[in-house]
This record gives sequence, structure tokens and C-alpha cells, in this order.
Amino acid sequence: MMDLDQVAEQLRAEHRAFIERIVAANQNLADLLSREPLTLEWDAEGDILYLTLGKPRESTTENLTDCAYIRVDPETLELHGLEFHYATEQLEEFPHLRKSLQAAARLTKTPLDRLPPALAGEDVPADAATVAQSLRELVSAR
Amino acid sequence: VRITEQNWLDHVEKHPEIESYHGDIPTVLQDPHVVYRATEDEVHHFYRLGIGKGRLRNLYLRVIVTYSESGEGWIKTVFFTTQANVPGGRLLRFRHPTQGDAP
Repeated sequence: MMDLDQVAEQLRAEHRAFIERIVAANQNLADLLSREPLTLEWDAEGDILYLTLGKPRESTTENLTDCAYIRVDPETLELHGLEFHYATEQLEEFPHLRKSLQAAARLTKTPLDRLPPALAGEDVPADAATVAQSLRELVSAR
Repeated sequence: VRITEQNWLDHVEKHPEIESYHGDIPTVLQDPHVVYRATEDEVHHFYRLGIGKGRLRNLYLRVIVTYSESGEGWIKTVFFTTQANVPGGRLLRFRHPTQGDAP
């Protein structure tokens, strides 16, 4: 029987392969964003930022990093949303994350006073294709 | 380990798939198949297979708990997950559903 370190390595490899499958299953993200309304919400008390396509629905939720999660359909792996825990700290630490979510904030027309302060200030393109590309890079770069 | 009613309702709003699994949380915490300590030492992730139904039947029910210095635990979030791995975390326990604990 494998020891815990060997099991952990195997679980990491399985996780990496699964995220690759999610990336592959979401090549048409721009189409998806043009079909499904995108919402961005910040739970200020828990400091969790939720990016949701359509309405929240049955999903499997996977780590992208220790603080970022992706929600996808359990069978098709189509993107349902992203969650960022410790959002304020993450946005300050990772400029690419901040830029992606600034674009999403502009696309969704979410009032800036309902979002982490780090998402204010920069003028970024906000069309569905740009946001889709930005989110794809975010997931791929996990 | 605690969760307030409002906190549970907030989780259900964002993760509607967990709505009917409130009663399974103690089983996950008391008899998990997988436990990770996150990069933040006070956060633990508990996983258990065999709880989900329908399209969730092969997934882990996962409960993330934050512990205070006094040892009191609060449920940070609950969801179903396919992969048992916490990037940067430390695997503390792995029990195969049929083969038992990894040493």
C-alpha cells in the first residue's frame, strides 16, 4: 500500500489532469458568456468573490489554487463560475487576477461600491471575447 | 464545529447542490475519507465519498473548517468536489473506501 506522500503525489497528478479536462471542455467560453448572464458578487464579511454564469446550479467545485475555485457541471465540465477566497489579499497579490476580474466587473456593470476596492480604478476592455480570453488564461495559469 | 443557520443558507444560495446534505456534515467531519491541512494551518478540508446522489454520486462531499486559537471550529464552506487535493496543503489522512487507511 502507498504511504501518504505517495498518495498525495497521485492525488496532485489526478487533479492536474482533471483541470486540463476542464480547460479543454471550455474552449467556447466566449459563446457561453454571450448566452449566459454573468454576475459578480462580493461577500465582504467572508471576503469571498463569486463570479457566476447564469444562476447558481448543481456543480462540482475544484481548487485552481489554494484560494481559488472553479465550479463546473459534474458531467460536461462546462464552466458555472469561479470563487476567490481571501479575495482582497488575492487581488492585491496577483495583477493578472485583478485585471481579469476588472474586465468581468465592467462587463457585468456591477457597481464598484459592491466590489473589493482593488477592482476600481483601471479602464479595461469589457467585451465578452476579452473577458472569456482573460478567464481562460486565469484558469490555465492556475 | 459550528455553522449558523444564516451561514448555511448563504452557502446553499451559492452552492444549491448541498441543500439536502446538511445532515451529512457530521459524518464527513467525524469519519472522513480524506483530510488536508491547508496552507493556512488553521484551515482543514474534510472529504467523504458515498454521500452524493444522482450526478453527485461519485463525488466527495467536502467541508472546509477554520479553527480559532482556542480550537473552536467554524464551517467556512461546503460543496461537492471531484478531486481530493489542496494545492500547497498537507495530506493528513487518506482512507480508501474499500482498502482502508494509507500509512
